[in-house]
Amino acid sequence: MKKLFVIFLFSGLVVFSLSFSKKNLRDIYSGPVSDWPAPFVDESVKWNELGVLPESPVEKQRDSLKHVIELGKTLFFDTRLSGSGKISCATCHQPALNWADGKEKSIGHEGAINKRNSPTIQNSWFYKRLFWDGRSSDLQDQAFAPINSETEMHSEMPDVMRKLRKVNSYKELFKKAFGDEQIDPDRLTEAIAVFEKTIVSRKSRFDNFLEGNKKALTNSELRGLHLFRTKAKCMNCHSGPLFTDNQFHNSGFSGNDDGYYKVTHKEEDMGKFKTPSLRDVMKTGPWMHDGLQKDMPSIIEKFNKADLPAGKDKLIQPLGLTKREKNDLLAFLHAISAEPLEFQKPDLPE
Amino acid sequence: MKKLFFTLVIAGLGFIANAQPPAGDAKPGEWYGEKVSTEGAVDLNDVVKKLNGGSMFPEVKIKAKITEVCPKKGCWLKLELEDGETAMVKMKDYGFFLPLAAKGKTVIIDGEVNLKTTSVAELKHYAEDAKKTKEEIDAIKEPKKEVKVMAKGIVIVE
Repeated sequence: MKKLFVIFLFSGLVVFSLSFSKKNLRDIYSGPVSDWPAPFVDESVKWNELGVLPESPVEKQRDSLKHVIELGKTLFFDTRLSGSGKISCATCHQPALNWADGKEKSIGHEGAINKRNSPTIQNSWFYKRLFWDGRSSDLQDQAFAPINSETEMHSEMPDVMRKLRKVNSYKELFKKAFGDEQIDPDRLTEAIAVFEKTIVSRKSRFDNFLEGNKKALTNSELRGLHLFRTKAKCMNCHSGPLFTDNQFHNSGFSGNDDGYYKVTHKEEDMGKFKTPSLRDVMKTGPWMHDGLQKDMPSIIEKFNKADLPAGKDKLIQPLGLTKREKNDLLAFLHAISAEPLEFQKPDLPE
Repeated sequence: MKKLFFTLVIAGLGFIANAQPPAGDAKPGEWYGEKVSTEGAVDLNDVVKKLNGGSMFPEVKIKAKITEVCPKKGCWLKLELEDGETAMVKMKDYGFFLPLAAKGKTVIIDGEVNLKTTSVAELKHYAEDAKKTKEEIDAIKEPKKEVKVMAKGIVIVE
């Protein structure tokens, strides 16, 4: 009888503490960020706390820049920028696909398969370097490359200039944007860059939760959030409101691609790629620089086991996640992914 | 005044156009794009002699001297040919750039060599980039047969 009583008391305690810890997790994460448990990050790591989706810095200048944005938007969708007249920037960065293209690798000029996966341009204003391998230092510089690349848009700036200068409405658009009718490569790429900086994610359920809707996340997603910050060590690289440290890492997926090494020529940068934002990650697969990862649970499992090729970053360590924990993490990745914002495509000049 | 306003708006955001070639001394041994070994390189002139209308060498390692580097971005080069002409080099995937200091250096380039016709518009654009005078630019009226090189990797040798 006494034994039964002890068992009864004990199981009661277990049930009580379980429900308490569940409630606790929701309460903790509903509270001020300063009261959140410290994330599990390695000592060498500079991290920022997760947070609400930040506004693009262009947002505050939207009025004064509206004509530059309008021009950039038009150019972004104009196939005149390509040699074949069939490809625009939006071919590989489609608004309805969260501004990626859903392909392993993008298809360029005359069916040419590109070297890497097309990343989303959402929140790209944040990156200090552009391209998976960081070879561009800003969006304007980046915009030159696909236009001139023989496998992507297969064009030449002089040809693009010639085509655009024939179009009267472009003269008007350039004049409104820059004060006179001059059409040149610097203005073209600048307008595209400014437009790209206006493209951001829609707020996700995670943002709704942070902004006070305590019910915006399920229990599983909340556990996922906690795991993301703690046991799963995701914040070693994916920290801050945009879930990226803006750095380069070899996460073990580099394959034969030298990545950032080709830019810096430093041995330690071999196989490193830019940490992508995880905003909308469940909408922007297939994943990694080469688009070879098609299945998120298997990516999580690879990080869990840290059973990745040599040369990987020391920040990637075995995690010992249970099946439920892996599911919770996946649920959280869904909670930070949202449908793209509505977007009105521009009318292209005749 | 209006123009000043535009300039200020753009400059204030840090979007001012500042395309420029990468910094660097282009010392022997420095490389760009794919890392290239110096073994098995042949003189560009020998390759050009074997080129005739439309033919190409898809994979060849050439040795040549740089006579010009794109002053705006370092995205194209010109190489010296013994007939007084030059060969035009572009980088694969528009993926890498050379510093201005590479001018006058001898390099080994791994890539593709072919004979192509360059349009008048393109020739004029390159002339503009090279800050040629208006008269020189206007004088360009004929398309040009040109040896073109698509470089995967470049290493400075001397």
